[in-house]
Amino acid sequence: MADEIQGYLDRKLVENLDRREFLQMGLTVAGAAAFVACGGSPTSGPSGPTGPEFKLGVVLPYSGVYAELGNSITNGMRMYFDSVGNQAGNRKITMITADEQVQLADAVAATKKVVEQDGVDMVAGYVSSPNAAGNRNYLDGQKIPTLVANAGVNSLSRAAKSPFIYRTSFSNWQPAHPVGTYVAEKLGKKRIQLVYAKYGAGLESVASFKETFTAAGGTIVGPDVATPFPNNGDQTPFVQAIQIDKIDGIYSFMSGTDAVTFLKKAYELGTLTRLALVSGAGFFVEQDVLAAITDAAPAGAITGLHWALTLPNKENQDFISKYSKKFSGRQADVFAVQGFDTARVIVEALNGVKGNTDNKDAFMKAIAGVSFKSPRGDFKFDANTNNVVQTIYIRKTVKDPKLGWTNQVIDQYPGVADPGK
Amino acid sequence: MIRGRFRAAWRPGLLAILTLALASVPMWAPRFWIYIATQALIFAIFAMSLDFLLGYAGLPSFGHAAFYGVGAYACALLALRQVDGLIPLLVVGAAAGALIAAPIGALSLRTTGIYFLMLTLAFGQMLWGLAVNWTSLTRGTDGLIGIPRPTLAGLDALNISLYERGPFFFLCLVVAILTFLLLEMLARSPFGKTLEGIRDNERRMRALGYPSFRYRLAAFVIAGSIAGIAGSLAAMSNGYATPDLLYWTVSGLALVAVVVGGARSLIGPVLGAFAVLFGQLGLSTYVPRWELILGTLFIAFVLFVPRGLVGLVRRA
Repeated sequence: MADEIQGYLDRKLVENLDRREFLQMGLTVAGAAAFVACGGSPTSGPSGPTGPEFKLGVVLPYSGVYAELGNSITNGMRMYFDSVGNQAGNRKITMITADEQVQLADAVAATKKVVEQDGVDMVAGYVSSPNAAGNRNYLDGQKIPTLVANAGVNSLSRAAKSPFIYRTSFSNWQPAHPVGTYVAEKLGKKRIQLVYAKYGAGLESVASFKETFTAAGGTIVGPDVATPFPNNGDQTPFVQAIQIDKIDGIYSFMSGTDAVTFLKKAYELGTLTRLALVSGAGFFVEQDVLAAITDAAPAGAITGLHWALTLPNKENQDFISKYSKKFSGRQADVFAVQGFDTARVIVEALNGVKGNTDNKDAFMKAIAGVSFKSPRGDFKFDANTNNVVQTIYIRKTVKDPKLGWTNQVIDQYPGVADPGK
Repeated sequence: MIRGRFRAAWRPGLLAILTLALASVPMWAPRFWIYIATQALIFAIFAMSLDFLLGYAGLPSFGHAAFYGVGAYACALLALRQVDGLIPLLVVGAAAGALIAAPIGALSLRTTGIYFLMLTLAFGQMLWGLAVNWTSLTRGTDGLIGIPRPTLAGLDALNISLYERGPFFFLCLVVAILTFLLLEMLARSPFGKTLEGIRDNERRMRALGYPSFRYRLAAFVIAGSIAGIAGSLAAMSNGYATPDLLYWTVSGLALVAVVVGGARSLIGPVLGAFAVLFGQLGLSTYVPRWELILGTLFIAFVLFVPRGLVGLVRRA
């Protein structure tokens, strides 16, 4: 909030001054600051970027069912940008945020606002699948370089792929696909009921699970428990529709507040303790959810995701300790990692083209070529799908004496790429 | 009668100013605000149809978004099957709105007041549920996306494309003006006067031999078909139809627009629609928690300005 206001004031200030005045003022202030900082002895500090400002439109939900996700992604982005001094390719990077909210109408307005009113060079964000899909034609038509930082809708890696839209998060297919095999083969659970938020992401996730699960000899026990999305009402009837006696467990896709209210209700009604297995896409028990439900957490839940708080690699340990320090004790979650990596892709691509984003093809090519060691492991883009290729971790929900409720990595499937062509 | 003479004095002036101001929008407004104004105009058409029900026929429908949404889906389904003519797409929206309004009206109008309100709300939510769950037709919560803009023979010859924001805005403006004129004409006709009579004293009108149920049903179907047209325009404008369009909050927002603008005036809902939509789509991208502002505004209007924005103009 305060940052938003500050950002707005900064922009106003810049608009009201012409460039020369602004530079003079900036130099004076910087000079004075350097003077003071160095205890009065004037020295020349490192000079700031001299290129035009790089405006990044950040369209994420800051209200509604996915508000926590939006905040986490924004924090992750801010953390990476701060770590490189908010500049790349000799350009100062400014984030201009707009609230995606929940409904497509609001996400469309937010996108148009940053593109048309703020004239951003690039857009990043989108948490919910329908909102990413619904803005795709506009972003593609306007040739706005875009990084999708969460929404997993498969079509963006397949039929609706755009040369201007890359995805740093996942496709709904990715975290679900290995779970089907794991549950049927390694855990030997053959009768599963599907529980999901009934919208693009939920439907695609369970479809992907079903594919590998039935191929490995599993049976889906119907009827599916499909909750409205977002479910602002009571979860009781949906929890009670789980046929505990007929199944070995459930596979679930829910995220954000939906997951919180569902798990809380399932705990209250005693359903959780009577279920032999809770499996799902990792969002169902991601850190944001676990932090909200604490001891209502489904101990032993087996989920697939491209990250876990407990990953031992150095990048991750670094990330989670710095994140928690920077955001007053807040625990990192997968969404923060996605934001962090999104910002890194932007910075590396900007450096790659030396700040020149006028040639959009070259800029998109630079984005496509970015690869690095992320907190989640190896990060690179797939040329076939414009989607990230990554390791999917099979995780078990446990109560850690130091970290509290979290997910322990028990298996992994490296280099999982969406099957789009 | 005093109201009638008064109306003659303030209405034409306000109408002229409003039309001129709106027509000039594409000339000076930035692209983003033309988009917001277009959305507001579409919502204004929707709100006018609700005002006709609420203000003139005295029917507080809380499920009006059903017809708006059904119009949008009808237009979307047809447009995705390669029908791109403007007229057929608007007609299908109107027809769908009317077709759905007829049975819902026939059942709901057996009640009045709060019962009518609850019934229309229930029917509206049923249709919303249908839109969410009938995935083979509506693609569920994801909605139908990628709806192309329509074409109109004459415009193509003039090299004007409705994909451009300015021309599409004018299209919505023309439809809004036609809607206003139609509803105004209806309101002043014997039909409209009869409706007002039924609103004020149904028993007496029935005693005089007016079949009040049929009059009300006719008003309900007319309002439904106009809401369908608005929905059709919304689908064209955004390029999508989602279940959100049928949700009760949309009906609620339209009621807020009517009340804030001033019911029983047809102009009021237009002003109200602009106020509400500028808040929802415009302000919300700048100010967080805009609903709080809207809610406060709504309470203030209900308490202090029961006649709405037009009431203020009228008093001035």
